[in-house]
Amino acid sequence: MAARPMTRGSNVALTREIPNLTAVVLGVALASPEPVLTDNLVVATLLCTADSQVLSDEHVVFFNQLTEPAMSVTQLEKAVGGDLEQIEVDLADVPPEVARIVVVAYINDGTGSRRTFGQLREARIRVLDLADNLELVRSENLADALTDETGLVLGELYRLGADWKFKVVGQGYSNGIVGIAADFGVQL
Amino acid sequence: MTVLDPANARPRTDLPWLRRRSVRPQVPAPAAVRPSSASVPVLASDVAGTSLDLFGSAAPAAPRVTPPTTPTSTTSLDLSGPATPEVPTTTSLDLRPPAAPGATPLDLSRPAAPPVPAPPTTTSLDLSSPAPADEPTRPARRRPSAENGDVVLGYLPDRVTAERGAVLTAKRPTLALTRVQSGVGALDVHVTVPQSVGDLRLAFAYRLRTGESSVLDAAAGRTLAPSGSRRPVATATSERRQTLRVDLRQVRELDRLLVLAYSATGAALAWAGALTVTTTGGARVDVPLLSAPFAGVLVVMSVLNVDGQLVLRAENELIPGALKNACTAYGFADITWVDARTPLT
Repeated sequence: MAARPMTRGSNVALTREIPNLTAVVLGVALASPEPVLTDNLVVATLLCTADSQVLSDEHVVFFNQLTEPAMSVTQLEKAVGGDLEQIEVDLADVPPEVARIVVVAYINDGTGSRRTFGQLREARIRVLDLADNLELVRSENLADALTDETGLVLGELYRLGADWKFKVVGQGYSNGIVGIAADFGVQL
Repeated sequence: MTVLDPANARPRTDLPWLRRRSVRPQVPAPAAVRPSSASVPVLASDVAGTSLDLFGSAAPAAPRVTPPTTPTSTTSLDLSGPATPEVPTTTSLDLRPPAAPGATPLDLSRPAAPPVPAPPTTTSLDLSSPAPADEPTRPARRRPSAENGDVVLGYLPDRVTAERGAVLTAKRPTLALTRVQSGVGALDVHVTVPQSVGDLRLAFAYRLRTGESSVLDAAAGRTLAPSGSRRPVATATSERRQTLRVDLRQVRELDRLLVLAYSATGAALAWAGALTVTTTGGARVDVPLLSAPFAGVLVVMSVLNVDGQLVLRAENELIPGALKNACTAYGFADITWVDARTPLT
């Protein structure tokens, strides 16, 4: 159990507090009682430059592209633990052009059934130490503030100099993945 | 060479492509069996157990919880070890230096002990125990990528973007969607034909990863792939216009797809018009229906799922006969047919 959940907008200096941190796991928990919503939830990780533009279409890590070209960020096919999805980040291997690793979630509208995040019961992101599965930080429940959004930026790992920091964002997008893709420069 | 029991074999870290984390309950290393002390890293499966208190710690530099490196006789990583009965396992770890630094195996603030097991006699995870080795360096790994100049898909495919659509012709028949385009939202395939063509109907032969195959035909009432599914991979409709919608969240279930155009009455159609494929972001691929008037089935386009990328290919091949002939010609051998135009399910 984490000491205190991080609120929206707060950040923590991970590698400064834990100097020997080499790799982390970002765990995303999204829970909803509705199966149609759960079937279509997608977690994606965008590897971006400092101005939040994704490096290329190959630097989007999600279920159809489980890793990026340098293989520093990998999404697990099946999460180990209580999360919906887990993304392993090897901090030393992250390419130097990547300044932000942004974790987003969206509802995939493949069937035309309009679902929104308002029906989500829980939306959390947490950071684990990869070496020993210890939970380092976790966010508050970001689902409380969501109503008709279909996209959500959960949090991001970002560089500050030689250190890595983690920030909880919790920003919703009412136009879902299309809005997220436009903001982050993902070619859909 | 003894065969290791997977339930209590030591995990390896020198193979980077192996999953390094495990939910196996951690087996405390038996001190009696291994006389040479070895430290076993904490592979706690109990994720909800302990966590680091990063906010309340009084120590300015809170050191990490590292595997104990002391070559003592206690090799168990039980955090409530005999030397420190006051460290409970169920609450957050207090990272302030304990009162008696020398007494606990979990002393994290001892500056002399390096965090990574360096002394040669105490290396863990080394299955050939006498050989000393520190953490083996991982080879640099690089996934083949078209941007790096590596050849993927066997050739460099054309791509399509929302700003610049593409037309597939005989000279340039193939195009590949990126994994993002193949995995986000839905793929929309519809046909636009002038009235002069005749009674053109679209059918979609599909094959799923499980081998399940059939032919979707909205006019005949077969609209869901797989049939009767609560969560279809593809849906065919013909209300406003003849359309196929593929749910790309399930693109991994799709093996391949074939778009067939035929005449409801079996007449020779004056093929004209175009098939349009649109991604969620609005990237458009057009396939003109090019063929001389002929009675038969026009195989317009095929969609192949190649390692997560959907490859579109303009076929524009006329197969005389009915749907069954066209499907068999393109290798859809798993479909059971009631008659030449109706699959079993």
